[in-house]
Amino acid sequence: MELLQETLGSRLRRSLAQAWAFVRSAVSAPEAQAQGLALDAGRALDEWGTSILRLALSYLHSREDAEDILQDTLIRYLTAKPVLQSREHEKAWLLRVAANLCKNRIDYNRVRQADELKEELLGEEREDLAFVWEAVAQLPEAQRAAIHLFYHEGYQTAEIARILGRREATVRSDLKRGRERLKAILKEAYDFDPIQ
Amino acid sequence: MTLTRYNEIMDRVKVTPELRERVLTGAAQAAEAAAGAQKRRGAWRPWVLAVACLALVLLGSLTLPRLGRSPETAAPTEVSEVQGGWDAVEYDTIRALTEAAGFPVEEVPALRDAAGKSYLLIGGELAEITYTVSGNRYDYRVSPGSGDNSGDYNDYPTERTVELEGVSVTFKGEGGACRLALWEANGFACSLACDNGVPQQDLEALVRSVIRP
Repeated sequence: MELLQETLGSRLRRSLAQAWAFVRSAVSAPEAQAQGLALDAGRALDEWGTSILRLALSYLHSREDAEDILQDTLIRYLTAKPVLQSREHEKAWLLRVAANLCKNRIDYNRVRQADELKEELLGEEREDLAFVWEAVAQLPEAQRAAIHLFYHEGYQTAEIARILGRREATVRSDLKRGRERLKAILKEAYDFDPIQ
Repeated sequence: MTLTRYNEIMDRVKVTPELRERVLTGAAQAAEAAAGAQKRRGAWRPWVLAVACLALVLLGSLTLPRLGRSPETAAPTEVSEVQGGWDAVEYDTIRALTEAAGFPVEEVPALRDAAGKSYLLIGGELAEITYTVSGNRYDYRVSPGSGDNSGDYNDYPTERTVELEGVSVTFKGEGGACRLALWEANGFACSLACDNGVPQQDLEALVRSVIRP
């Protein structure tokens, strides 16, 4: 009888300890999840933040607005908690969200007029770069985004279509027209390669 | 494959440590605020679950040889859904697309027998049927609500609005090539885009076949 009581007592103590640990973890799970998400957001920002910032800048031509878009994109990442299959998928997801946020901002006329990057280039007496930047700013935003994703990020037209939520034929048309307009504006030769 | 000066400009643009800190802090605060209401509503749930499990453990420990749950297999987590706004899922049939979309999607009758067809649901709420006919590609889109859902942001020099079967339809294109038709019907936004462009009357006929099947 004493042996039985001792066995049951130790088992009960172990069970209660496990149950209490379970209770604590059940209550603290949301906080642990939040910490994990914060780490993930930091990693995503380190990996893709520059790409997001540059795409937003190509749309909005305002560093301040682009930084707002970067933060808004990260907020979406934290709240949506997407399940993403690969690094490439993650990057495309983030760029897609950023592009949509940029388009919304343009639609609602919440774009600042100051172009800090242009002022910076002029301040450094890089008129050649400022001229190019100003020429790109004259393109419709759809063409700007397509040119940025094709020539700077190196995406193919099919991938650009998925990121921008557009038809591939439209993207090809945007690239062609964007190049033609830039050439007309700048009247210089660039080392363009044919659109692939 | 570079636009060299443009890339030189972009290479100056980076996320600085200061910007990183500011963005992470701001994003975390905003996300926490957004989750705050949900947290207040559901704050009692983990405690109720924990108390119920504790009661079960106490009851079971008196009779079962092995008891308890490992802390590592803690509270169930929500199943995350793939989100992202523009993820596209392809379906084999119009019926499957309709079921997934949750709203009726019909074929373009005049294109129903096209050799190449695909059925996509984009972002969970935009249904797209693509037809390939004689080297020309048509994208027919339907989504709840209103507005332009074509995803075509080109500025077309030619734009005309006509009444077809009592529905106002806007046609866009350039020269003699009409590339896009936009209309709304029964609470849905609709668009029919054509890659290579066709005479407006041809696109009108296709739209008419949709409006009045």
